[in-house]
Parts: sequence; C-alpha cells; structure tokens
Amino acid sequence: MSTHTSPHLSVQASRRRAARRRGELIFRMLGLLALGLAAAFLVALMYSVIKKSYNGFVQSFIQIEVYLDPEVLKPTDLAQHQAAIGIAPAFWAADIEPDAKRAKRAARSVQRGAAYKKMLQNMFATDFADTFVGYETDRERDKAVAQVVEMISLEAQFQIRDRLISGEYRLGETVTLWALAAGDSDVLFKDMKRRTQKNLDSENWILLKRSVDENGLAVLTELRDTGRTRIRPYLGVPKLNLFGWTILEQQPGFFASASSTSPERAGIAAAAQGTFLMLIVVMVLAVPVGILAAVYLEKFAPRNQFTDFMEININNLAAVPSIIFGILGAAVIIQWLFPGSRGFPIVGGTVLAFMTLPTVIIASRAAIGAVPPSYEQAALGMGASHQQSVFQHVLPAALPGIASGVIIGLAQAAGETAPLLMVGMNAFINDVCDAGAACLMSKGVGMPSQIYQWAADDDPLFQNKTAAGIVCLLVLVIAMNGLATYIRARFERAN
Amino acid sequence: MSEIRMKAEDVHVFYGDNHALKGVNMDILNRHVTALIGPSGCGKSTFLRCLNRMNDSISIARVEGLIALDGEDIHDQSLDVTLLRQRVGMVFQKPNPFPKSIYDNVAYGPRLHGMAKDREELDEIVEEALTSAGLWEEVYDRLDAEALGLSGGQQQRLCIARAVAVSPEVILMDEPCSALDPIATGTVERLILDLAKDYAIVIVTHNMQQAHRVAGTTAFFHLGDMVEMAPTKDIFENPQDPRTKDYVSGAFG
Repeated sequence: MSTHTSPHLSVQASRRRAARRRGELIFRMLGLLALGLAAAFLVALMYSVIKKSYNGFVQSFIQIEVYLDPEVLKPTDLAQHQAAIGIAPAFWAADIEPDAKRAKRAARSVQRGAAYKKMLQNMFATDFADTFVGYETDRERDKAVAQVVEMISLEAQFQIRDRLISGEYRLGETVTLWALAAGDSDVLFKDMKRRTQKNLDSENWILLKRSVDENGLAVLTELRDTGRTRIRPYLGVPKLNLFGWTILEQQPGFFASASSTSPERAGIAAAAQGTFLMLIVVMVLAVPVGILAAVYLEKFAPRNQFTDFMEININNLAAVPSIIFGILGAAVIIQWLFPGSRGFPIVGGTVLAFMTLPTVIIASRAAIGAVPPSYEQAALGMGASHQQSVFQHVLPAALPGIASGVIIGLAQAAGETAPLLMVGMNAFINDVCDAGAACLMSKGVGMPSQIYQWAADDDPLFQNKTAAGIVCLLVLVIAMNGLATYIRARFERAN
Repeated sequence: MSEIRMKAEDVHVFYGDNHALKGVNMDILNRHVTALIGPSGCGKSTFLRCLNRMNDSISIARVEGLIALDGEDIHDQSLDVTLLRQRVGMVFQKPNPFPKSIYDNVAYGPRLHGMAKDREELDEIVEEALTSAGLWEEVYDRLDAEALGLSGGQQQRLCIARAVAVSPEVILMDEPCSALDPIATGTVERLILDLAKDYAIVIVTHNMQQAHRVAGTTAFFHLGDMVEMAPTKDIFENPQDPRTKDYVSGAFG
C-alpha cells in the first residue's frame, strides 16, 4: 500500500463530489421546472385566447326571404333618393323632380331602418304564424314579433337598404339572403351547435334572460332544424385607398368595420387604422431623432459630466411607466399646446414617440458601438473627416441593428395601452375614418384601447371580440418582432 | 541617399499621465522602407500613428515636439488633418476592408477627394492601384464581389491598394502581416519592396526577420525611447547599444 495516497481519493473528497453532483442536479431540475412552468402558462394563455377568439371571427347567419313591400317603402321615395345621390332611379321615378325638400324627406325614409324592420316583421309574422298565437290584441302580437326581429342584426337591414339603393334589389321582389344574426341569437346559435347531442329543453341557457324570449327560441329552433342557419367566418376586407386608387373594396366583416354597440357588427378596422397612423407618427418623430441622438452621443459628444448625466437619464427614461408619458401628453400637448386635440392619433403617436425614443436611442447606440472600429479607422486613414467616416461607414454598418431596435420599439408602442387612455384615444369610434391624412387629426382609437373597451363589456360576443382583437394585436406584434429578428440575422456580419 | 520626406524632432507622447514616447528624432527617407521594431508597448505603433495624426482620435493622447512633412509642420493650425492623411496613408494590422465591393473599396478615397472626373478615370485609378498592389490579376473579373469574401492576404493587399489609390507620399504600415499566413506574408513583403520604388514606407513589425527582409533602415524602440536607428544590416549585425543587441539576439522581447 502506497503511503502517498492522493487526497482526491479520500472518503471526504468523494462525499464532496457527490454533494456537488447533487447540487448541480437540483439546479438543473429547478431550471427545467421554471422553463416548464413558463411554457405551460404561455400555452394556457394562448389556448384560452385563441379558443375564445374563434367565436369572434365566426358569426351566425340566418337565411331570410323578405318581401320588399312597396307599401312599406314608397317607390317614389327610393327613386328620389337614388336620383339625389346620382344613381339612375328605377322606372317609376320618371316623374320625379329635383326638389331639395322632397329629396331630404325621401333620403330620411330610405336611410331610416324602420321600413326594413317592418318588412322583416311582416316576414316573421307570416312565416312563423304558428308561433305567434294566443295574443289578445294585434298590438301585443306585433310587439312579440318585433322582439323576435331583434334576432337579426341591423347589418341585414342596412344590407337590404344598400342593395335597394344600388338597384341590386327592386321593390316588389321577394329576396333571399343570409342575414347576420344579432349578438344574442348568435351566442345562442353557437351554444346550440355545441349542444346538438343534448336535449335543448333541459338546458338552462334560457335563463340567460337575454333578448331572445320563448318565441325567439322557438323560431331559432325551427330555423336551425330547417337548415336556415349557418355559422361562417365573418372577416371582411377593409377599404383601402391609396393616392385615389382603390386597392381593396370593402367587404363587411371583423377586419372591415369599426366598433359598434351591437357586438356582431363590431370590428377592428378603426382601431387598426388608429394604431397604424400612430406608428407612422412614431416613425416620423422617434426614428430620425433617436438615431441622430445615438450617433451624436456615441461618436461626437465630448465625454464629460453633462453627457454622462444625459446618458443616465435616457436609460432611466426607458424604465419610466408608460402612463407617465400619457400624463405628459395630456398635460402638455392637449391642455397646453394644442387644446382640443384630445383623442387625435397624432397626439397619441407623439406620446408613443416620446416613449419609444429611449428604446431607439439605446438600441441604436448598441448597434453603433458594435461596429468594428476598423471601418472608422480605415476611413480616417484615407483622409475622411470624422463625420464622413461615421455617416459613410459606421452608420450603414449599424443600420441592421438599428432597424431591428426600431421595429422592436414600434412593436412595443403598438401594444401600449395606458398612454392612449390618458390622451383620450379610447373613444367610441363607430366609423372607419375615410379622410386620408386628416384622420391623424380626428378622434381615433388604438388596438389596445379598443380591446380594453370591449373587455369591459359583459356581452359574451364582446368577450369573443376582445379575444379576436388580442389575437390581431399579438399577430401584429409577433410579426414585427419576427421581422426585427430576421433583419438582425440576415444582415449581421461576422467581423 | 534619397531626400528626407518626413522629419521628427524630439517627439513626446503622453496618454494621460503615461509618458509613452520620450523624445524621438527620426528622418524618414523617400523611396525607402523604414522599419520600427521593439517589444510590445515600446511606443513604435504610437510613433507611427503620430505621423498621420491618428492619435488625434484618442482624447487623452497628447503629442509634443515637431513632426514635419516636406518641411511643413503637420500640427500647424492651418493644416487640414484630412489633407495630411491623404498624403500620409495608412495600412492597419488587421485587414479592414469596408463591407462593400472590391471596386468600391479602392474607389472610396478617390471619390472622397474628387480625384476622378468621370467613371473612366476612376476605373483607371482603381486598376492602377490594384495592379500596384499585385491584386489586379486575381480580381479583375469580379470587381463587384464583396471585399470581405477575399482571403486574408488578398484583403490586406486590397487595403494597400486602397491606400495607394489616394496617391499618398508616405505609406504607414502597422504590422501589416501579423494576421497573415507565411505565404501571404511573403507576397505582401514583395509588394512592400515594390512600392518602395515610389513611396516612403514606414512599417512597424514584431517580426525581426521581416525588418531584415524589407527595410533599408531600422529603428529599435524600447520603453518609449528610440534606442538606435541605423541601416538594417548594422542593426542586426553590429548593434551599438547593448539593449538592441539583446533584443536582436533574442535575449528578450
């Protein structure tokens, strides 16, 4: 036996090693656990949002056959209105004369929903005469029918109106169309679909006490049993005009409409437009200022206490809660500089630009700092001035990094809610702005604040729309971050 | 003996409190290679960078003493530093082509200084510079290719071509072969000897054999002092100062 046994072979040492192995194993396990938990939360969140959003993207439709009764809507009124807005009127308008007062009255009776509602009422009263029995007076019966008509979205009435005006439908015809179901009946339909195997009567969803009453339920069931209902995606196409050219024709749907008090008609278009406009403002304001500030700080500023102070403040600004920027916008821009600009995308964009500025500066500085000094040295050595070497060599080499930083800043700005609430960009906007650049200066709403608005409504369909809005926002933000990652990976050079 | 191109008299450099160069006197001859050798931190690169005022960009560096180019003080208020650097070009330790095409790399200087009236003239300058850097034959058919796609030795010769394209009078080289393999080093050394027919060349090198091969005059630096400057043969075969003797014989360094 050798007397020179290595100290590493002792019992204590091997115990120490075992303890070390155990410690490392525990650490690894904890790490995996943390990762697993994070992944589980993410999956749960995505699952619940996406599942809920499905019913926001699809809607129920009811097939209706409506008699376009010339006694309910006067043919002369329709013709008068058509003439007034420059559409060739139907044949019985031969005797109409341009008369401002008459035209106004005609427009009112055509635009108003009452006539179309009456047509729908007549339809239900005839088609479902069996349902509406046992009322003592006609008045009570009509009231009951009117309640059932509520199952059809206003959208359908507008559809009939617009098609009448455009000449696609003619008075006196009976037309068949798939009408958008109103929010409550939509929710019921989706519910029914889910529970087809069960006995509906035993379900307690009737206790929802929504606008669908016993009659409505009977009508809905019959419609469903005769195959006159369907659930379809209701996405639509937003209207898009560029420089006077129509790029996209509007098709009604979630992507085409603004918010609405009726959940089935509410869409994300106005909010998406607001967010888009704000991002343009952010780009115009924050990007040039941020990049040039970064260039100056990184390459030109003398190293002294003042620049140190600026640096610390910029880094701190990036951590300031966004609502503070909102207060700044409300107090300085809206109350002081431009009174009356509350809710304008240009104001919201300016506030978001303030917020994004530190992000842009920090990302740009990092990108500029990462450019190998050899480029600059080479340029200087050839007789370029300092400024030339920075703008001709350092900045171009830093651009991919700057671009990805800018895009991440924009994505952050797109998802910011609090400042929008502070500057009034959470108004109820039920119309997509159609005025081009002037939309910057009319009341608007952003996607996050639209989602916030919908989330506050307890209507189940609005909850679905909330989830659908969240999905849209997530897609936007993920796409932007993906683009940033792509740019970084694509243009990053190994130096 | 050829004429004196640059002259340094009692040059001191301070980096903050650190006295990095302590009174260097040197004449740099035209059409001649001057090598600066010495151990790390001896001040040879610092001195080289004084010659085209690249130390200006280091805020804590302070240069004292006289450096003259063709009898003109390069620190003179009226002298534009960019003009100095057009006349005194530089090649760096690591090949540092711009991330652009081969053509644009060489054309950068002439474009910057408006040296060509039109594209044809620019093409000529580029061809001439690439030829004098011995690179034309290798790249004439792919001038639009990315410079970073060239090999290390080719990149360094491209940097030399880029410096030559500006028509300098003096070319400073800061350990131009330290990042190259022996074959590329040989090519660059032959190129240096070639260029010495037209330019004054100052080369900093860690490699004493390289100084031996390319330089007509060699200066030995040690701890901020220029210890000895003499024809290369004398430095290596008959050094006067014991420190030089120790260094060239490999006793330290």
